[in-house]
Amino acid sequence: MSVAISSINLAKNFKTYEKNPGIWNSLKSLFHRDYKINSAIQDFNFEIKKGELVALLGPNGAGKTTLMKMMTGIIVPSAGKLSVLGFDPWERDKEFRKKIALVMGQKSQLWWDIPAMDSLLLLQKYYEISDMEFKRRMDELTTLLDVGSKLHIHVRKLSLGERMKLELMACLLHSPDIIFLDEPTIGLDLMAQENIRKFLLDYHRKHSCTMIITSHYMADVEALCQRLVLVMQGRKAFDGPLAEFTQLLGDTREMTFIFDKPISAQEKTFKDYDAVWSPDNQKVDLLVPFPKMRDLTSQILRDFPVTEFSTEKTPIERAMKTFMKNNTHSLQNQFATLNK
Amino acid sequence: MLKAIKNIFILYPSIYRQLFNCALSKATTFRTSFVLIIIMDLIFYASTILSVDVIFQHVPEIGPWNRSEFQFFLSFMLILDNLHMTFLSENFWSFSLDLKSGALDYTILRPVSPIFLTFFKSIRICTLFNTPLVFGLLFYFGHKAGVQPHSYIWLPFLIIMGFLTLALIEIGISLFMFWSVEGNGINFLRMQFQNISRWPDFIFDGLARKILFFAIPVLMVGTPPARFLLNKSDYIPMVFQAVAVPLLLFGVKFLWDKGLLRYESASS
Amino acid sequence: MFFINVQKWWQTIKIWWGQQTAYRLNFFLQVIGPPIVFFCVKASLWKAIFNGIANQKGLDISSTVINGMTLDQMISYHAWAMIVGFLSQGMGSFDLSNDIRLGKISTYLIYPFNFWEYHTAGFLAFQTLQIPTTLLSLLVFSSLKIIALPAISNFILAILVCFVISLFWFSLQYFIGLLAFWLEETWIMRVMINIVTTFLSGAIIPVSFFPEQLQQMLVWSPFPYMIYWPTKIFLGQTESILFGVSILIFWTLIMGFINTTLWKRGLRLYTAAGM
Repeated sequence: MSVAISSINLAKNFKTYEKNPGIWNSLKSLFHRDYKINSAIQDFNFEIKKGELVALLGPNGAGKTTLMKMMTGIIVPSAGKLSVLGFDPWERDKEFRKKIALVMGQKSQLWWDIPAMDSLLLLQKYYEISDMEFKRRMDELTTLLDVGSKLHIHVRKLSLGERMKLELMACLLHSPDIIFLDEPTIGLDLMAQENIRKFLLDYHRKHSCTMIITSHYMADVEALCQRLVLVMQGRKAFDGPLAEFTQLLGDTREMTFIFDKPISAQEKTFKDYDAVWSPDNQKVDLLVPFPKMRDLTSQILRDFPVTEFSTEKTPIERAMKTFMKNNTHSLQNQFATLNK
Repeated sequence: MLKAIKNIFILYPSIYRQLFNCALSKATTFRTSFVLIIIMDLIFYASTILSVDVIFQHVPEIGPWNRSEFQFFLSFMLILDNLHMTFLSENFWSFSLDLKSGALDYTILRPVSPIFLTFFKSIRICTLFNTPLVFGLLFYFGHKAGVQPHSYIWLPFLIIMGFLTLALIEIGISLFMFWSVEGNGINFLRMQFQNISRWPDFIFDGLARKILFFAIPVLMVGTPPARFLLNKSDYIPMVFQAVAVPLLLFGVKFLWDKGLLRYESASS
Repeated sequence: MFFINVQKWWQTIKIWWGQQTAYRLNFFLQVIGPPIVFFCVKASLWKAIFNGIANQKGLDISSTVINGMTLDQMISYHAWAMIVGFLSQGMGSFDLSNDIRLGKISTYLIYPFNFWEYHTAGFLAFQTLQIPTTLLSLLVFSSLKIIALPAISNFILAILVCFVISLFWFSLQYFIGLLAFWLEETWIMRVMINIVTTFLSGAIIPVSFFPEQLQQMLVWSPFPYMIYWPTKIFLGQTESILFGVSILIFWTLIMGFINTTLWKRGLRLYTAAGM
């Protein structure tokens, strides 16, 4: 079967309660709590084929991590169907667990107070990896990740970037079929981020495993993903190739103009183009639909003291911001009508 | 079936061997704690034995036992305490932390029994240095109480039974952390029950004794083995214990499954 | 100036209240539960002991005496010991050692409110939280006729004495917390000191049961004055008040001095290492 993951009408609800400050409210909460139902995921349908590299994106609290945890079997869905590699993740079949791996950028799976090698040897035992296979995997991953000298240092003494590499190594030891990465590059410096991305791409090319990545960094998305699933307020807002997403806003280009003196941000010329001004008001970034480019450029060059200008395809970050801004409102309306 | 046997005899021991290595690695990192914990335990043993000793300077008997017999019972409990300290206790505290931080996610994902990983993952190597001492105390007081050397044939079995009873009760209590917001309070509850188990059953009477023997059977931990060793014909409590252990095992598995259903890991 | 300072203290105390009661079950299980269980175990133990002696000697339980105490007196002793514990052995400065380990003291080096002030406010907050617990225990115990409420003057005296003890106990806990500058795990020291204190203060067995030599040695230590001596005051035996208070104050000052030194040393280590 070529489908790795499929979900139908998947949903997850959480119970939360509010607590207000102050002595009276604290005492009140000793006896009574007002619970609210928070829908983290609603009506989620999607399908991921084996070997795909998919990005799950969305604002904080959108539900990406909840989705990932449902797919790994950590939390149980409230409704709907979910199938991963033919298993119901919630059953947590032992064979299922041997086929998946999860890396969470914000939580470490390596033991903190001992060298990483000890944790890796432990994982070898958990996953019943033979000594020969273990050595082979260790050699391959150590070389790819360039962590040979870090294996015998206490994990808490390593930098974030080094730790992340070892986390990746730990999750790949047992050659999983699906790898879930939850914000793997969070908090890393640019160099470390690039290294991780390069490694993931190389690994994916070599092993054709399925990879699902959540991230806030557009650079991750652009580098790694063929397909983008956008999650907003618990629902699927977009699902398709990355190129399609950037086309969503029409064929727009980002144009940058630099002036030799500050220009007022109130100027009518710039108003319709999502202008982003620099603090000294001498530089502006505009999102301009392609048909309007020539006329707008001539107008600005004529009316303002331009020293430099340039054009680029819309960076995905910009596209994401605009898309989310445009769609939050309409999504909210959609929900409002649904809930009536 | 074959797989289960293979697991018990090959896989889990090899996992545990590596867990032991990890613990050794950790222990040699925290050397001050290593020494301090040994001293702390010694102070605890001294306090336990001496407290009862002081009482016996004023009375000849407590219940049916004289000084040596009572100290013998206490020594047996100290052995269980030593094993508890070594193989179990650290895990109860890390369980509450893992629940809060969501690190339990990783434990659930491993293709290994999560209950085993959760409650037996951390081993305290340093307390093993006190193990000869507590056994020494047992044999010393046993000798004074008139325990025949050949009775000690039963000792490994009795210790395992006592330890299993204690472990299962404490794990069961700890599992209530799935339902409480802040887990550490449950740890203190668990320690209170552990405290109660350090006293023989005849200290309590009436309803308290029935509850603490049959409902939350902490009194079934040390009293049956000690009573049996002191007097072979007093084997009925051991029968109760033998019945209790599988029941407790069942209860723990049930609580774990229910608790996990409730586990919503901390959000990202 | 003074008024602003009082405001800072008041606001800090309120925050401590919030923190200490945030987890209601926790508070009960950690602070109130253990002493109650301890009392029940001791009461059971002594009942069993006294019953044994009574049966053996063929006496009535009320006339059985062990080392000068009847069963009722012994249970009364332990009931008062529990109340003294509530009043004087607080857990006021929650995890001072955590603050050091996690580097939170940096905040207090910058705030116009000292680290020691913050934790002393915690101590005061906790003491007040124990008032309802103490009152409830008094109510329950006296209605069950386990204790007899003493004369008002004795009672007030005992309460004041308990406050002095709580200051000493706080200084001891503070000391253990400060060890976090040097120790990875301070809980070990805490448990050690707890065990020794519990034994030597008469919490398990009245100090009068100890061998003579031990009692003599303990006279100059703070231990008997933490449970045994204040309990006797509640029971109406008020000799050597001045001596007891002096010993406690002496030891509190010693701890204060040690703590100040440790703090200075520790801070030097902390700021040098950029912990």
